[in-house]
Amino acid sequence: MDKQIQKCFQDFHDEIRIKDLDRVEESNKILREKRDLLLNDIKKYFDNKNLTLDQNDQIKYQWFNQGSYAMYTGVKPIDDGDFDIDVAIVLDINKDDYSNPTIVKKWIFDALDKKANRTVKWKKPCITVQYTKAGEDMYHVDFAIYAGKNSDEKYYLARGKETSLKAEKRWDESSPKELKEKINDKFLDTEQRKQFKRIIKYLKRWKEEAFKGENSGSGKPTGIALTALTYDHFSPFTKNVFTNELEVNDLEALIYTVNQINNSSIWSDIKVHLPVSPYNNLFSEMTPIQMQNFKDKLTVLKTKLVNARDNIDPHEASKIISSVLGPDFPIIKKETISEKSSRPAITSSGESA
Amino acid sequence: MCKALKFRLPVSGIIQINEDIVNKLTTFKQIESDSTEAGGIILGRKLIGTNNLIIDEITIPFPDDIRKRYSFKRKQENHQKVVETRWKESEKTENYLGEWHTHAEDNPTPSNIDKNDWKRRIMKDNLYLDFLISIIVGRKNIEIWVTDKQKNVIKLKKENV
Repeated sequence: MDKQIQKCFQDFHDEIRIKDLDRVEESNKILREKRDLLLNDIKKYFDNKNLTLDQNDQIKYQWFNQGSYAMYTGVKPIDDGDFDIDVAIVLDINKDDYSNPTIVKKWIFDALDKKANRTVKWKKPCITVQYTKAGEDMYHVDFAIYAGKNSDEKYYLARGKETSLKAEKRWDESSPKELKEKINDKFLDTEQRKQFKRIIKYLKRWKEEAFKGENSGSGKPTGIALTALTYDHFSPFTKNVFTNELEVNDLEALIYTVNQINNSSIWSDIKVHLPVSPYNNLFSEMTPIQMQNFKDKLTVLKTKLVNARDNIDPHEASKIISSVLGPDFPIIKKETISEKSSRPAITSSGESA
Repeated sequence: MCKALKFRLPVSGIIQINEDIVNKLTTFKQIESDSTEAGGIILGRKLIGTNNLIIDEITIPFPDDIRKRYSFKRKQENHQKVVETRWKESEKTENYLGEWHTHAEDNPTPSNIDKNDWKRRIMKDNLYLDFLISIIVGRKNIEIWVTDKQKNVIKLKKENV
């Protein structure tokens, strides 16, 4: 039973995960090519700009993948929705030389704007390149722009739109590389690390299913909030405790994590801090009602998962899990797990009292 | 929320009544002073490589079955047809496991009529398993008995969750 359910979790994971752009065998070619095309436009922009500048004033930068994609915690959107990749552009500049960070963001905007079949938009934390197909959002690439050569050796994210109020145009301390490393290096053991990443993805997909059809004020947590919660509360279930042999059990790990999240906070208050500087509470913008709504949904998830674990029928168990994790979680067919009989029984009329 | 019920079988294995069947059986509880007995057959399957049984279907009274306050008589034909249809539709995995009926008492116990009917079936009917499963739905509890080839009638213990 455990093995059959674990197989369902593996198939589910294969279905929902966003595959790695930078590995040939996982090639998500279109997306990788789009990203590289955009990065090339940025390169050309700075090459041109630097021609006009003195040697000492030339602007250098580096880029890396960041966000869920870089942490291998990305999940495909449900209903063929829009999906994103996040790229960090770290400019070799000191934030103190640019009191208005939108000047810096505008370089990236200008580098990418005015090309066919893509739209470039200002967003507060990034510049977004949106690709659409027949008017529907297909995917987008978010460029987060950092000042990387500061006196305190920290990175600062350029925030705000050109039209934002002055208070919203600011440099925010940020640690995109450390975050990536913290999540990727939390577990040295491969099986444990992989399970940790899978649990994050299960919770992210669960969130999409659980908040489906609810309005934006319902308090759907962000992906990073669920990632940080899992970072704090997950514990691996990858070995048989008696024999110490490999025995991966995602259902137990998920139940444990959900339980710990729910028990970590009293009443409706829920908190989780980003595990790197600036260590902000990722639930700080939720109202008590939204937090309660989130906790209620977590309780439903936990109850269903426990019901599934207690069920001796793999068909029923997988059906129960699918009811909370969504239709990408496969349901085991009765016929494949039940014995065939040689003939139907013959039963007579009868009497009871 | 109602959960699946599990009972320990006499020799080995567990028998589980799936949640929607528990709900279905519950609707026939003889709560009102004039509600009559109901009954039918139990269909289920055996999980490969285990001694575990899953009850995931039942039949309910057909119009030609006779329902009284303290007795229930079921005819063969309609219930038998269901066994044959379901066996075919399920790639031969769904089969007859036994009988269910209701009692107008909180914690049900089988009457002599019940026990004699079960013993007759284990000897005369052409069964799938070498024992007969019988469920009685009381007003507060659902209980299961197993009748074996030696005509022992054994009450099953609920499996704690």
